[in-house]
Amino acid sequence: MRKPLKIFVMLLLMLSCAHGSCLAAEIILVVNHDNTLAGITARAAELIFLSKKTEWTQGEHIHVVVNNDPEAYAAFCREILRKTPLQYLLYRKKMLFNGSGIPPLVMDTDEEVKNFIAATRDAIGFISKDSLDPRVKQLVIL
Amino acid sequence: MKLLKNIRTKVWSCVAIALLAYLLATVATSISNIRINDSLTSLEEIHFPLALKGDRIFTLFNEQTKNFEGGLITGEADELVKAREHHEEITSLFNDMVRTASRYDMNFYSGLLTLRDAYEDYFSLAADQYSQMSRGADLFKHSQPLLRIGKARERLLASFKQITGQLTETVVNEIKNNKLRAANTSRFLHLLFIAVLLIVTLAINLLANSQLITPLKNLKEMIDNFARGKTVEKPQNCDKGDEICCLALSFWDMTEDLKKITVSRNYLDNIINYMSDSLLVLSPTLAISRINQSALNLLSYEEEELISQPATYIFSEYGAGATIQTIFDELLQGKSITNLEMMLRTRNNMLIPVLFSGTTFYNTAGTVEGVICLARDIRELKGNLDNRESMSNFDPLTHLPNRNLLHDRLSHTLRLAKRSRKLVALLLIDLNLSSAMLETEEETAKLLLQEAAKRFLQSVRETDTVARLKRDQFAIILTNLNDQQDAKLVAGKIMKDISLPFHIAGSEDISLSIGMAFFPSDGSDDSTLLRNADTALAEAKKQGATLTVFTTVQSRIGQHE
Repeated sequence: MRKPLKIFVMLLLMLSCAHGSCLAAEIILVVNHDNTLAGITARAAELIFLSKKTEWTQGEHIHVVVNNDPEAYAAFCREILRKTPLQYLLYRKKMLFNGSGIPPLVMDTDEEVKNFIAATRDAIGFISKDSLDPRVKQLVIL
Repeated sequence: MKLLKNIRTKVWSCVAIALLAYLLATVATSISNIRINDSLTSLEEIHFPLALKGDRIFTLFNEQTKNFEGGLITGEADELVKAREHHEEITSLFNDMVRTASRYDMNFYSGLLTLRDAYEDYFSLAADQYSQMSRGADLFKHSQPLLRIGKARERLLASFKQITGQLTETVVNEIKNNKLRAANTSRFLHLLFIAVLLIVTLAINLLANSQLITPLKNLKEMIDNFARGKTVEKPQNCDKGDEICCLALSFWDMTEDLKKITVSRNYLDNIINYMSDSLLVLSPTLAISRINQSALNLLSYEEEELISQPATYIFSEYGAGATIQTIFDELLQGKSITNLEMMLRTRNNMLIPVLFSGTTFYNTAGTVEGVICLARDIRELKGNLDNRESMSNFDPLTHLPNRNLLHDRLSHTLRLAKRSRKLVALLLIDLNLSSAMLETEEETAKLLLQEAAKRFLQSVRETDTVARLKRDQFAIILTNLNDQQDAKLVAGKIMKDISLPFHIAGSEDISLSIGMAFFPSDGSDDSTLLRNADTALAEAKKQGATLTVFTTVQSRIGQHE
C-alpha cells in the first residue's frame, strides 16, 4: 500500500515538472557575472542559440557558445531548443553554409565553456547543473 | 500659273496634290514600321535571348546552390557533381550572353563580364572547399572560409537578381515602346488625314478655281456679254495647248464675224428705213411682211398694224378692186411691173397716187420668196393739190371712175388683152335724160344717175370697169371676152335692167343708147376705141335707144335691138 503511493507521488512530481519551467533536470544556462540579466524566457534562449537574437538589451553582441559534451548537448537540445541534437547540428551547418550571421563557438567540455564565459562579458552557454561554480552566473529560465 | 497648259495637266495637278498627301502618309507609316521592325529585331536577337538566358542562369545557380548545400550537409559527392554540371551550363550561358552583350551595350557588357568573373571565383572556391568538407571534415572548424563563400554567394545571388530584373525590364520596355510607337503613328496618321483633308480641299479648290473654274467663268461672261450686246474682250496670251483659252478665242472670232454681219445688216436696215420712197415686201401669199418707215409715215400707220395684213389693205386700184389682184398675180408669175400708177390707202382712208414698181424675188431653191414693192408719192407730180377732181379719179356722185381713170384703165386693159389675146369691148352708154330734167330737177337726176350706176355695176363682172364720163354718159369696159357675142349679151342685159322701173319720184322713163367698139377689131389703143365707140353711140342715138356696134356702123349691117 505505501509503495504504490510513493511511486504515484513521484510520478506526479515528474509530471508537474514536465514543462520546461522546472529545469531541474540537467542543463543550466550560464552567463558572465557582469551580465546584468538574472533570467530570460525560454523563447529568448531559443532565439539566441538559433542565432536569431544576436544582441543583448544594450546592444552588445551575444557570444554564443555551444557545448559539444554529448549529454549536455542532447539535454540542451531537448529541453531548450526542443529539437533533436541532429536537427540542431544540421541547423548550424545550414547557417554556416548560408554564411548568415556569426556561428556559435563550439567547445567540447563544461570546463571550456565555463572558462570562456568567465572571460567574456557578453557570452552565454549551457552546462550541466552539477558543473555550476562561482565563476559563472546561472541564468534562470523564466 | 502658266506651267499648267491644257486641261489634262490641270486635272493632274489637282490629283497630284492629293497623291502627295497620300505619299506623306505612306512615308510616315513606313518610317514608323521600320522603327518598329528594328526594335522588334533587337528584341528578338538581343533583349529577349538575354533575358531568357539570364533567367536560366539564375535558376541554374539556385539549383547549384541547393546541390552545394546538400553536398556540404549530407557529404554526398553526387551533389557536388551535379553542381559542377550546372556550372558548365552556367558558364556557356554566360559566354553567350557576353557575346550578345558585346554587340549591344558596352556598359552592360562590362557589367556582365564582372559578374562572370565573380561567379568563376566563387565557384572555384566553393567547389574546392565543399569537396574538402564533404570528406568528413568538421565544418565548424572551417567556419571562416565557409562563411566567406556563403557571403560571396549571397552577393552573387543579388547581382543575378538585379541583372535578370534589368533584362526583363528591358524586354518589357521595348515592347511598351513599340506599342507607343504604333499608337503615335496611328495618332499622327489621323492628324495628318485631317490636316491633309483641309489642305488638300483648300489647295484643290484654289487650283481648280484658278485653272479651271475661273477660265470657264470668263468664257461664260464673254458669252453673256455677247448675248446682251456688250463688247467682248479678246482673250490674252492663249497657249496653243490650253483648251479653254482656245475655246474662248474661237468664240471671240465668231463674235467678230457676227459683228461684221450685223454691221452690214444694220447698214442695210438703215438704207431701207431712210430711203424716201416707200418700200414694202410681200410674202408669197401677198401679206405685208416688211414695210419701211417712209411707207408708214406716208400712210400714217404703225408697223404692227400693217404686218401680216393683205396687200389689198393698203393698195388700191386705179379703178375697180379686182385689178390689184391681177397685178399681183402677174407679179407672182414672174413679171416685173415698173411705174404703174396705183393708189395707196392711208389710215384716214385717203387715197394717195403712187408710182408702183414691183418685182418677185426667189430663194435658192427657186421658189417665190416674196414680192418687193416700191411706191413713189406722185401727188406733187399730179399737180394742183387742191383740185380734188383731178386728184381723185372718181366721180363724186356715183363713186365710179371718171374719165381720167377710164383712160388709164382702158390702156391697162388693152395691154393685158394684147398679151392674153382676149377680146375687150368698150361700151358707151347714154341715158338720154332730157336737159330740162338735168337742169331743173337736180335731186331727182342725181338719184337716177346713182341708181343707174348701181344697175350697171350689177350687170358686169368684177373684172369689168364701169365709169361715168359726163352728165349722163357712162362707159363700160368688158374684159376677157372670148367673142363679141358675149359682149352683146351683156349689153342686152344692161338694157333690160335699165328698163325696169326706178321708183324715183319725178323720174322719166329711161331709154339707153349704147355704142360698142371691140378690141382688136375696132382699135388697138384707148383713144381709137373711144372714138369708134363714140361714133357707134352717135349712130345708136340717131337710131333711137338702141345698141350699135361700131363695125356695123362701118358696114351699115346688122342693127340690133
